[in-house]
Amino acid sequence: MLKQLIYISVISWLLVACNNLEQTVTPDLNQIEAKIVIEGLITNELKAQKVIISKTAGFYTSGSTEKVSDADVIVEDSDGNLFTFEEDTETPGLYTAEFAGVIGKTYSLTVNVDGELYEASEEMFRVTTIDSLTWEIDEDEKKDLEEDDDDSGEFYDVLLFTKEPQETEDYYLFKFYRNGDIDNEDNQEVYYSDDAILDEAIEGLEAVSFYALNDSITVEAYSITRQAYLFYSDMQLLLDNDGGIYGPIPANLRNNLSNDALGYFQVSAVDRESIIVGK
Amino acid sequence: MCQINKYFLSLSFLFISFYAFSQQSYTISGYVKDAGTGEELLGVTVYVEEIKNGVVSNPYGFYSLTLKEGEYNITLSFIGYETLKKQITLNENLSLNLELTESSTELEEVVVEAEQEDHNVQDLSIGKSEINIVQVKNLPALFGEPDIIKTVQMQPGVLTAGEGTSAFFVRGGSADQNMILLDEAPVYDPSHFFGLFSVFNADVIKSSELYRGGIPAQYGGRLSSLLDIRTKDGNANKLSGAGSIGLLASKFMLEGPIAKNKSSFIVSARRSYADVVAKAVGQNIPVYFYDFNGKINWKPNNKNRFFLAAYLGRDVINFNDGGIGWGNKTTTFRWNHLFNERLFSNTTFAFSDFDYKLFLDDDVQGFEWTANMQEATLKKDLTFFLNPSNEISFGASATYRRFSPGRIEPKGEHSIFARVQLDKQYAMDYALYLGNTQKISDRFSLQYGLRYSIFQSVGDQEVKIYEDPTDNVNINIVEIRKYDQFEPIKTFHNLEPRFSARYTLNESSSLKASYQRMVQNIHLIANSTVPIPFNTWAPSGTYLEPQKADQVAIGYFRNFENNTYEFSVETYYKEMNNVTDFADNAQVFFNEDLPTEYRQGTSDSYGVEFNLKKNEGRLTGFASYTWSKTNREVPDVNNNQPFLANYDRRHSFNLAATYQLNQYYTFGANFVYYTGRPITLPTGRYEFDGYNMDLISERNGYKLEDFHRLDLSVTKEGKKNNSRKWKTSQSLGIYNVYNRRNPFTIYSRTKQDDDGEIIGDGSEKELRKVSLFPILLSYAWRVRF
Repeated sequence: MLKQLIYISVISWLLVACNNLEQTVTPDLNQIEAKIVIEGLITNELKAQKVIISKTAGFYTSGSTEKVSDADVIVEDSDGNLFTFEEDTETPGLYTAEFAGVIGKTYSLTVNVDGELYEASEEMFRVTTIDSLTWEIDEDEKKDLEEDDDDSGEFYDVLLFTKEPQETEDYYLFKFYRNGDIDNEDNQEVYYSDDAILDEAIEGLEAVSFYALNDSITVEAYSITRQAYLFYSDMQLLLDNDGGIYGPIPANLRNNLSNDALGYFQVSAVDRESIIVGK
Repeated sequence: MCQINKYFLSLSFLFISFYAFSQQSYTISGYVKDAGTGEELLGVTVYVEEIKNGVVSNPYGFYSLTLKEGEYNITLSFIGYETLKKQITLNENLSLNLELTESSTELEEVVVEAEQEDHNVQDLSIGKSEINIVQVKNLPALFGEPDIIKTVQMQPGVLTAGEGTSAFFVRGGSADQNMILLDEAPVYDPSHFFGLFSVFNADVIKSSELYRGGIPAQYGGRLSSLLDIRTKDGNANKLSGAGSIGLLASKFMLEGPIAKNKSSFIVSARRSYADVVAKAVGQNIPVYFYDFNGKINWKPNNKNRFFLAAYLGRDVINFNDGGIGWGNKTTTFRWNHLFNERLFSNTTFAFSDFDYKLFLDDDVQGFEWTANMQEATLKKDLTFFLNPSNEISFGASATYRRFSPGRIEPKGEHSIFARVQLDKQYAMDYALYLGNTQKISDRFSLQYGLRYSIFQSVGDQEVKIYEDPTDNVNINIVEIRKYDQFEPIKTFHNLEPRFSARYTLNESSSLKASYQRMVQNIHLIANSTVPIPFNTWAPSGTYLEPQKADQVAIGYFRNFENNTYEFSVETYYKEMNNVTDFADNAQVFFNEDLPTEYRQGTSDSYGVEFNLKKNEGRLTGFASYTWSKTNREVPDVNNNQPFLANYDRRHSFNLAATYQLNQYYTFGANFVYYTGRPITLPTGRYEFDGYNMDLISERNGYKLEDFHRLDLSVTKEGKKNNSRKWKTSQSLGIYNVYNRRNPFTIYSRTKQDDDGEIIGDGSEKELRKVSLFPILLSYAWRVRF
């Protein structure tokens, strides 16, 4: 959060200074052999756990990237239970297995694509539960909207209440949904946190948007490992990159996958709370 | 210890060699001043015709010459001043303060100049650029604010990361490897507005010199360069001042005597007012900076002189419910003391502070984040003017540093933040040095010295011992070592030999060579190309080894047309060890386990630098061209493969010129041409959980386009108003005359339209080139009295 503030302040100054002095350029970029991308998520909820396997695409391409079919995808827990993932018949590259992860167990992923093995392993930590959500009118935003003749009615805050355990080192990923859709600034923002500078009482932390009456808001909290926290933190840095002038030099995200694969195999306990604004 | 003995042994041989004279000798000594303002002049050549030899006034304007009894003709020459010839009879020790008169600015049709000084050829200095402050003021400047750093960036061997930054890169060194001294106090962040302007107010600067090689043993602490900026002492003869109103900032300077010829002062203040102007037209640019310089001196006699100087500067950015601020504070107290005519001493106490602060006023997310560092230095420098052929300098210094890399305080009743203080770090730094400038013959001179530096990181501190200090993912602390206050944690001893030689080929040309070893024990925690004010510093210690650089350079120096043109070509090779860098994706802000991000590697740089300078006449200025290359190799960065340094540029050409048409009009021009610096671009993309991520395959694998720009300015001096005794001038400038969109950086983003709305399904990405400044006009009105 603090890091973002720094980058935003630097970049906003940059933007003030550059005043539309930006243009799209298309330098020749080297063709790099496609790499394997693995997106896996095991949670403690009983459901079809997912692993998606795809490939990288050229920078200037558009549309969905190539998916990888016919891979062997196996997850083994620390008790030796094997979960074999089957490829979805409708969605190529999506592999699922129905089970619920158990907090405290370690899950190991093995993916075999044409004889190449990709492996990762993560422990499932308990998650700090969201105590409650409430809503309130944001008077400042209401006034701003009135001044702008904006009648969208989006001037409600959703507030989150929880207690951050101070004796343990915890890492979090949050996802916000609004009327069923993910709410993350068009996939430009990741909501993650460590607890290094957090106090115990989290009372009234605002959700990411302003909402209208009758909006249905869901907040999910995921427990993640430090490795996953760094993955998401690196991800946000890369999404916000300025080419490395004031910010860090762009680099690939640190992850838990072997054999140079991109992506992440995440194992999380989840807690979920919902609220309807005005009710 | 064995190594030390070896060095001192060879030094003592050199000293012994000149202890062979015993004739009756007397010393002539004193200060050289500007006749108009009473300012001491440094770097004035005091030449004795009879012995075809001379000295140069030291940084405090003092000179001393020991000669055999007799009659002598001495000549004083200095750029911009009338040459002074004086006949003296030396039959006792003579104290002689000399005054030089500024060359008339009213040019006559036939310019008959006295013989120009030839210090470009005769001086021992190699790799040194004197920045002419008068010229800086006449050159076109961004928003009309003359900036000495922008002229530094145009010197040979100096590269920039682009316009709009105060960072500069000397002979392959990074921006934090420059020692920037303001009246001998280090300035840690020389930037205002993230570098659009530097913190140095041109109105108070007396001299500034950039050493990119040949750094005397007196100085140490940074690998690549020394930028020595000294401010004026204040007019000792009459109250005078200057003020200016520019597009972005205004400033005012007042100087004058407190007690005639005994004491004087100078004060100056500057503030930007984009925020005020914007508010007046209903806009909101809540950004401003200000700075203040002040200095007083007391010169009771030639034997004792005292100076007290202070600088305070700050940048402020205010948001609706938060803000950012950063700034430097420096204080220097100096005491010049003459033990006798031949032994000059200077004692300096310098204090320097840099801090930044970010805060957010919010009931829930409110916090205040502060970080700062301080250092206090006490040093004693002595110069013994043994004879015209030997000038021995020696001294010692001790520095105490305190690093406070970060502290978070909750702000607001229900703040989610805890109170967290990152461990403070402390360090002691001692240095001893001894050097001599020796004229072996009419043609051959040497400057050699040795600096012995001791750096100690000390308690009170808790040092975490990591199982693997390079594992920034799985942090495993095996032990915490506690150190009491001033208890040494780790001590580094270093010997830093310095050497330069000059061989005069003929009256107008010479060959010079230099070798230097530099050691740097404080490390900037930054993984960007240009440092930002939120970067902190860390001392050498358990996890950081001292950075070391060895540099050799040779040069050919030649003057043309009676010293009107100065030309030099230098080539250098520099090897740097333990250059501090950071792992890919390092978390450099508020990281409790920062040591796990440190990666030290090696770097080498080589290049050729050409410089042509014209100091006198209607047309003055310089042109420089540098060819250079800088590589880095750092573990865990770029898959352990070597890569070009972020600021590497193959070619760099700079031209700065002013032309004085008549006593009213002066024209100025800058032209720069740089080949592009390296940049890291994505080569592919991939999908993860809805996010469309860049694939990076190589650090600095691409180059930005070439950068070139022309700036022009004209300054019109008002007629002297004798009744009112003040004089005005106006200058008009055009920055980026042909409106080139020079590249500053390229970043990638999801393809968007002009309103920032994502185009299509968000799967397409694009690269955006950012340029900073289009064609800009500037205007400044100045008044002097």
